[in-house]
Order: sequence, then C-alpha cells, then structure tokens
Amino acid sequence: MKKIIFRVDDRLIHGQVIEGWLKHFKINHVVIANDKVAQNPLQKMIYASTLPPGTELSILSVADFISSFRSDRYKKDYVLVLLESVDDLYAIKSMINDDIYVNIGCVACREHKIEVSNTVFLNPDEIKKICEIRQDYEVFIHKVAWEPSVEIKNFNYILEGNL
Amino acid sequence: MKSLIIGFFSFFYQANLNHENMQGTGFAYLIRKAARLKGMELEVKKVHEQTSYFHTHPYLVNFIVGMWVREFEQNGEEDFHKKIYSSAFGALGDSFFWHSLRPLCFATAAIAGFYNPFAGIISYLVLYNLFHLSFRFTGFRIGYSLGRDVITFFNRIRFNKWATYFDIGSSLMLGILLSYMAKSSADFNSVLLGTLTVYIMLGMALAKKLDIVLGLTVIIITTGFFLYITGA
Repeated sequence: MKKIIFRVDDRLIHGQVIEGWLKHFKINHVVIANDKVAQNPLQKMIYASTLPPGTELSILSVADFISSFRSDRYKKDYVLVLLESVDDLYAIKSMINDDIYVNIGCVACREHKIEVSNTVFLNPDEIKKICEIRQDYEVFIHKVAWEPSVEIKNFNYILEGNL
Repeated sequence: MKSLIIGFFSFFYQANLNHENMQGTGFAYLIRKAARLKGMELEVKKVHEQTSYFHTHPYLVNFIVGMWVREFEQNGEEDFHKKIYSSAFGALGDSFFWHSLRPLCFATAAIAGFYNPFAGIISYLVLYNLFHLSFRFTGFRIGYSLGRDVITFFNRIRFNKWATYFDIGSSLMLGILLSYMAKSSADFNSVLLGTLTVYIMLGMALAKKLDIVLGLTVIIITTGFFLYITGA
C-alpha cells in the first residue's frame, strides 16, 4: 500500500476510517484538509477525541495543507488525508502523484446527485472534476481497505445516461 | 426516566437503515419522541428535515438526540453539531463496541463455556449488555445536560482509549484460554509448551505482518499438513 492516501469522505473521521484505514494500514498521521473545520475549535476537539492513542492529527485549511505538503512535512509518516468533498480534492489535484492512492469513500446522497456506488453519490460537476483528475491518475471507489476497490472508468458515461 | 424511555425507543432506530439516508428516518423518529418528552411539538417540516442522511453508532445515538434537543431549545446549531457528532460517535462506537468489546466478550464466554456452556452464553450477554445498555439508557440524559459539549463526557472517561485497553484484555483472555486448552487436552510437558509457544508467536507474527485472515489460513494449512504427515 502507498504511504499517502487521499480520501474523499464527507463524514471525515468515522468508524470505517478508524477501523478500515487507520488500523488496517497502521497509519500514524491523519490530516483533515478543510477550510471550515480548520476554523472551528469545537469540531477540532471532537475529531481529536475520536482517534486512537498514538495517531497524530493535523487539521488544516486546504491552502495550508498544500504548503505543508510541499514542505515534505509528511515524508516519514503513513498519512491519510481526508477531504470532505470532490471540490477539495480538485483543489489539491496538483499534489497528486503516482505515490499517492486516491480514493472516494463516502459522499452522501443529496438532491440532484447520481448514485455511483452504494456509498458515493455525485453531481455532474463532481463527476466532471473526477474525470479530469483520472486523465492523469487512477481514482478508486474504496469503502474499507479489506473490500475490493473499484477503479473509476468510463465515468463520462454516467453523464451521458448510459449507466 | 426520560432517558430510559428514549433508550427504549432507540431499539427501533435502525429499522429503516438504507443506503440513501442511512439511519435518517430513525433519527427523525427519535427526535420527535424526545422533543415530546421535553414538552415540545416539532413542526412537520423540521421532523422531515431530520430524515436526511444520518449515520452513527446505534448505541451512542441517544447522546446526539439529547444534544440536538438541548441545542434546539436554546436556538443553537443543532443540525450542524448533529453532523459532526454523527461521524465522531460512529468512529468511537465502532472501535469500541464492534472491534474491541465483542472479542473480549467472546474470549470471556469461551473461558466460562469450558466449565459450563450455559455460563458461557450468560457471561457474554451480561458483559456485552452491561456496556451496551449503560450507554444506550444514559445517552439522552448526558447529551441533554452537556449539549454541544457532549464530547467532554467522552474525554473525561477517556473513551478513545477503551478500545486499546480492551484489546489488551482480549489478548490476555485468549492467552489464558489457549493455555488452558493446551493443558487440558494433551499430556502437558515442556516440549509441548515450547512447540505451542513458537506456534502462537509465529501465528501472531504472520497476522501482524500480513493479515489476520491470511495468517489464520496459513496456520490452518500448516497444521493440516503437519497432522497429515505425522498421521495424527
């Protein structure tokens, strides 16, 4: 498994993330890159209270994450970067390289969203953004580590109504 | 008393679990009940809003229900905090109840079951439900009294460390169980003890390095091969 994982999960830290990713891959550093969470002390405290002992948590705005990532701050760690939305993933797409495993775990059902899997519901704009990212890098739908991942292919077909 | 009533109704919380709104319907049901107990009648629109996507650990949902009612009474941001706590309590609850308490209960039941199968079943049910029901039936009261700061209760009892402690307890219990099985099922001698120790350590190393299921599979195949060769 790659040392750095970018995961889109609109619930950020929850049961599947702790058991399915942190403990499974012995990840020692969790980064939440989200502008709203970074500004909310209570939310920061709540997420910090959910992690098992020994796991470092960094909560940064998307801009701060980009600068910290460029400074090689996470070089020695096994890192899980949690992003709340596809828009946030798109904002950091310049950070993605072949050493990073990009997956979409959970994007909840909302109005005008298309069911991509039983945990991922996306709107057309989000689908277009993922299509753009996957022109250069693989993007998977992957709920928990021990379940098979699904590589996103022919995604534009969804927009054309073929799936 | 109100906390007990909500605790009882929360047994139905997962009745409409589905991929679209997960447990949103169950949450709306609980919120309506809880508000009525506190002397409030929620508007239909407000209840309907609560049927949107919601997913948390079923034993800890009452903490969120209590927090929500308190925040609603005080014109707070009940829906914003509901979303945050749903994922946080999902993380805490899954780690502790599903992944740590269950193995500990199993190990305890297995040991008790050696003496008496009935005692094994009873010990599992008692130990598991001691924790399960305590959280289920006190959740609403604590959630309501602390409101959006309900996380402080979990910090006070260091709940995120419980899973680690219980995992250690489970390992200890399994060690006792295996020792007892070895001692009671064969002529116990130092060679057997040494072989078993190496065998268990090898299994643990495989499980840690590779994967628990793969480690178990390798050990089972190795054991089968060993028994076949020796004709045991």
